[in-house]
Amino acid sequence: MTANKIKIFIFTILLFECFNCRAESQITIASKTFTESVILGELASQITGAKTVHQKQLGGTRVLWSALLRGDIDIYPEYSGTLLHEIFAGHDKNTDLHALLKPLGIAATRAIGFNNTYALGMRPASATELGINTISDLANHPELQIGFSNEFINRSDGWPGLQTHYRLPQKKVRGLDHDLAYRGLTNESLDVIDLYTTDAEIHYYNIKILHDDLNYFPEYNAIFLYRLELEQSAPQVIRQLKRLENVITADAMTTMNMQAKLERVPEAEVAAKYLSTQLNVNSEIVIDSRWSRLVRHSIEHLVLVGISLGAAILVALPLGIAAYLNTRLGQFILSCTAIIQTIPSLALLVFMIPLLGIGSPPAIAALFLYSLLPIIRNTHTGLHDIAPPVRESAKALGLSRTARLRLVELPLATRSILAGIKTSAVINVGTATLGALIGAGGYGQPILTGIRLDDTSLILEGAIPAALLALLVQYSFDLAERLLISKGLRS
Amino acid sequence: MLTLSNIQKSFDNQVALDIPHLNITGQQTTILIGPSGCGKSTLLKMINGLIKPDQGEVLFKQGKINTQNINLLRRQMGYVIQEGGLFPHLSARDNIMLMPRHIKLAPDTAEQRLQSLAELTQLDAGQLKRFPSQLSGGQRQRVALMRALILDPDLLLLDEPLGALDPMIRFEMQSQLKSIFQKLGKTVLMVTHDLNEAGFFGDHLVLLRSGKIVQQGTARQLIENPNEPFVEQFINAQRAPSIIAR
Repeated sequence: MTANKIKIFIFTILLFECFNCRAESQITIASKTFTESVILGELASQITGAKTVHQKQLGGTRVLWSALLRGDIDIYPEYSGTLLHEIFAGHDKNTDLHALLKPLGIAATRAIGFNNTYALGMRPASATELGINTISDLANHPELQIGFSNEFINRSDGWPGLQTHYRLPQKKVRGLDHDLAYRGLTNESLDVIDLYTTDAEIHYYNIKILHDDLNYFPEYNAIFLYRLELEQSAPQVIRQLKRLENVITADAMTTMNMQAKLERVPEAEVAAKYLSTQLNVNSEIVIDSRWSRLVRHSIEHLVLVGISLGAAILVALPLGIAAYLNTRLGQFILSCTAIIQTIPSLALLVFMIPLLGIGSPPAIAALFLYSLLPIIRNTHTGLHDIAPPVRESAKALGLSRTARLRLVELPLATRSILAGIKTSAVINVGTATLGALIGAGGYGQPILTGIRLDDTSLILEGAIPAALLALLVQYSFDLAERLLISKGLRS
Repeated sequence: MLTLSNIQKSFDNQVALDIPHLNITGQQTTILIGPSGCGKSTLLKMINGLIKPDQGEVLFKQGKINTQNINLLRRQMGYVIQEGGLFPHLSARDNIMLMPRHIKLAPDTAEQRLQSLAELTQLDAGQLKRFPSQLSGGQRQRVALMRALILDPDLLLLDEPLGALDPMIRFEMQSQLKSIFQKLGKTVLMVTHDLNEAGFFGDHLVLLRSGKIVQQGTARQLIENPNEPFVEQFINAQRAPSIIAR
């Protein structure tokens, strides 16, 4: 029993290790979960050549920053303002970024050209009519309808600071979703909205940006962060990366954002077109067909589900049996797994990152933990609910404890145990879509991209196979039930 | 065959058994009888170790029963309970053959025993293929008896084996069981609350009340010479009321 447990443990560790290892020479570029970042990641990946891979929309600032610190990724696009206001919040705003980064083994390129900061925008017609060109001009028009994204209203460097800085008289400000704000502006229910200076919609809706004449908004200059050691180990890559310094203007970036977001051109193509026209870099890009994407995502998803569920069965069955054999231990095991179950799945995934990095290992570990409870509980319940006369008869025959479990109790609990595994498997298939948030791929990947690009067909490209897989799992377990459960227990 | 001495057992500070001495003679049928809660089933379970005594010891074939030897000793004691306790996931045949296979008894020997027991209990091959849920109550009890006898035990422990059967089948099974016991010549210890059944099967009756032995002897001795008023009450209570008024 103990020897078996050790074997299982070692086996699990080996599996995780195997997924953890990366080819030594490969350089990983990552991007955040919004379109501009994905395009920047593509630009970096294409200009640096074949030695790099791009992990698209890997996560938010915190995920990418800690992955960079750990060395799980090597390069990612960031904004100077984000570094100063989020990562190094509390430091003097005039500190040299390079001085803060160097002790951490991180370096940054110079600004790659554009500044994607907050701005205020209006319909050009109404701006001209009212003679508004700068934010200062707003002070003369307290009657204007203002709608800001909720984050902007609450951030200290957002509306509260802006209002004080410019002494703006407007009292009533509506909070709403950023994407809806554009619609509010065009249908004239709003006059002024906040925006990011490289938003795709600025061109699309032809929005007038008000000049920040009193220099209120901090700079969010786009840069690339990279691990310092690359300067020695891959100088060529860094040299290529630095070709993007001071090249991309806000207009160019906005155009690229628009192509990707509004015209639905794949980011790789957008980046390739820019590089060939502006820098004369010709990169070969492979745009996956829907089928090859589906196959890749299916394999990734099945790996996530298969390994996590398999390991969960191997661990949860013995734990469920142990919980049945020893009441006090059982209470402990059941409460521990119940606590794990209460952790929100996203939080559990993020907890795993410091331990296991990014990609499949933390996702598999989180899914494994989630799969434990239904199996343990159903194993315990199935064994516990066996009729006392049957249990007593097995004892009275002179069967040892293990023989009783093997010949009588486990076969009688099979239905319950299988039901537990089925529950785990179905939940697992659904939860595994969240793995895409930390770079584990799977059906969550197209869902995530689809949400980002507001593309329903992409969302369905992940959601439909995930639902079908869940159904398939359900049916296979129904079949397994028919094969594994004795006929004597069915009538 | 079986000796119990100085047995004490309480549940929640309530005396369940208090038996200074009890001897069960080999090759005859002994009946444990008494009202509900008198401790007769507890006593039976103590003999095959399902319940441990607080004090005292159980000697089986001169050996003391303890946790080390209990599983080996249980294989020499067949045990049948009211509902049979058959394993629902196994066919009747697999229920019976579970132990022979587990202890790796020669398949030929096991098969031979199965055949002769099937003849004895009048179960055919088709019935043996069925699962317990597909058998009648009487058939289930016969399968349970076969399972209890398949390892050719020295002692047969029966806890109200016919208690759940309807009267017609019960009557039929009583005579069948008695003839089986006679043919096998085994030591049988049976629990029942029915005096008629006790008198029908038993060479020797042990009457219990609140965990203590009140009187033992043949049915005739108990009826003719009750040694305290309770014995007389118990016997009178079990006399069938006259169906036709005189």
